[in-house]
Amino acid sequence: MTILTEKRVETDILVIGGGGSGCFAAIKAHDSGAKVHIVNKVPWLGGCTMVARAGYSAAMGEQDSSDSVAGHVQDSLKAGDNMGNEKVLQAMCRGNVDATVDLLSWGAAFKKRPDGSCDLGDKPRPGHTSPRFVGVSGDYSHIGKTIMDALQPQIKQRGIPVISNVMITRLLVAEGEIAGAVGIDWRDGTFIIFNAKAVILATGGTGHLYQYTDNPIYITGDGYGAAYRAGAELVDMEFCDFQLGAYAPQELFGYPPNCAFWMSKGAILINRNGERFFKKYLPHRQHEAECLRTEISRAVAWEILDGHGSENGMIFLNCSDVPKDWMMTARADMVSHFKRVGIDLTWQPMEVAPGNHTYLGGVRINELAESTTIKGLYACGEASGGWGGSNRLGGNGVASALGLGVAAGKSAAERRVAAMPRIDENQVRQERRKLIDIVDYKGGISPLKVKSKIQKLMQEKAWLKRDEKGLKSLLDGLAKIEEHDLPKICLSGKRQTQRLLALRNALEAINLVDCGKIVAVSALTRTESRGSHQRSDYLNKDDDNWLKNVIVYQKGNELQVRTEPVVK
Amino acid sequence: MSSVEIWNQIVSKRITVDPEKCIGCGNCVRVCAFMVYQIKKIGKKKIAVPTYQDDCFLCQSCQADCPGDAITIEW
Repeated sequence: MTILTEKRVETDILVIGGGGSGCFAAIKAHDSGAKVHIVNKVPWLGGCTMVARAGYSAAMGEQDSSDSVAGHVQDSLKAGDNMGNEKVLQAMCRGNVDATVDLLSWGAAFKKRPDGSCDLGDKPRPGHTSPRFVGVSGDYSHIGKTIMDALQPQIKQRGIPVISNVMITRLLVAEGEIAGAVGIDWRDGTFIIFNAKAVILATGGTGHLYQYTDNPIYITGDGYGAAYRAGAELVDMEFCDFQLGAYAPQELFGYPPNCAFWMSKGAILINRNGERFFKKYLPHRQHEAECLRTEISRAVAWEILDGHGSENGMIFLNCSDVPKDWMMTARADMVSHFKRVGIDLTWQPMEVAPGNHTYLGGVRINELAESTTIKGLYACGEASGGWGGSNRLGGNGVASALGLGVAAGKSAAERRVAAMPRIDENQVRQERRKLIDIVDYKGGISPLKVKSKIQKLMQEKAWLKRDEKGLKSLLDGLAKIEEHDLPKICLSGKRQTQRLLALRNALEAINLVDCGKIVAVSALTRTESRGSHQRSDYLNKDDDNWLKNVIVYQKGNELQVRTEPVVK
Repeated sequence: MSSVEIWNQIVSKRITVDPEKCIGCGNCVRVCAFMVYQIKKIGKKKIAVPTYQDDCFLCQSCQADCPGDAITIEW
């Protein structure tokens, strides 16, 4: 296989990831005078931002003094049990207002008032003290596309080079400072070495660590993995958020029906025996629609794990009480999608289960969006963590992408005046060796098999019902995969494109194992249940002992964990 | 008007599958949550056909998982 020819790129700022966060970081760094390159794993810009629906939160009321950035920060802190990092939230909410102003000036088709300002809705959304909802017309519209529609031309206009189909596998660090990154073009096999003064991680989360997820297929924790192996601290990785989605029949796997909205219109959850079960877990609630997302996800997961799920291991969402006129107009598209697989929603139920949605944890950053341990490494969006605490305020997912993207871009640009750091060529050689070893190995197992093995393990042992025994056996399982399966991955396929895709899958499997270990160790350490981290052996929230962050990092080749009081 | 209808008014996109490069593996069918693709037999060869283009969410999962590099999306 004629692969692994070498190419070198020198730049001030390297942005890894081409979603909303990466684009904003690149634009802000470029506008501050830095030379910027974006490296993107997929063909064109969009990433996970593209699948964002509905809208996001921004304190745009600041402009007529009806709201303030400080108010958004306080609401976010409250939603996350006051475990968020206030300074980072301040930077994020500030950056988010700036980003929204920019997007409006670039012609983003948000819902507007007659005077041209954002229509933020009449009343505050749950958890907010002021109306802050930036959306598009329609209640479940494609906000991600609206954002990317405005961002793409800006990247083009500025002439910021976008290097597509390249997966970054390692960050180059010398003496605690970033020096660049190396990656592979998984379409033509070029081995690319980036020399940069600052690196911004905008790689998103690691949705495909679990079997059930609504994330695009390429969201595999590449940023978490690379940062962890380079020695960065990752924080709060036990808080991964699950949301109900359709995972059966197979054709619909990963479909996001926005169950909360259906439930608010009267849809109910029933188990295989036709019983409504939420009261068993949530006796203080009157209807499914009243329950918080984390509560309902946990109830559904426990009901499934207790053996009351459907044949496909799902719970039914019965929509027959939902007003037909609403269903046939506002959700006409979904009705027709389900009809295509033979389900008539007017009388037949959807099959749903909680799928991995977002990660609240990630690379631990300070208010400049810079990693706490590696100088010159920045993280924004889902790749960063610790800002939101145990639970995410509604609409803060996209807000963190845009807001921290702005913050990271601006702070990273400060490093443009520094001297170009020297790359440690040993690290480059090691990484090249690792890739060549995978390419040359013959007669082993397929990377897809390894990936699905990891996903199944995570789904079984670290879903919404975690306990010590399960998490320990998960760690054993992951260690076995790391020891026995990863070194035996082989790339099969007649065509070079097939083998290169398999190489990418192999590299993703390596990241998934690292992310799995980090999530498992973090979850094992936190001996309480809080937010999206639910343990069956420690059922309650423990504010006396656990208003703390769990921090994971690598030292030598060992995974280390420690806890620290929340940063005030 | 549903959100998707509104969206389709403002967006035009075109998904094309190169029949020479497509190996009919069905990865795109598997990874697409919006059921855009169908595998059809055309002549002797099985290939992916993007029948329901309007439902595409532009997430790039199909392109990212295509072992033949056969899919192009213009928008």
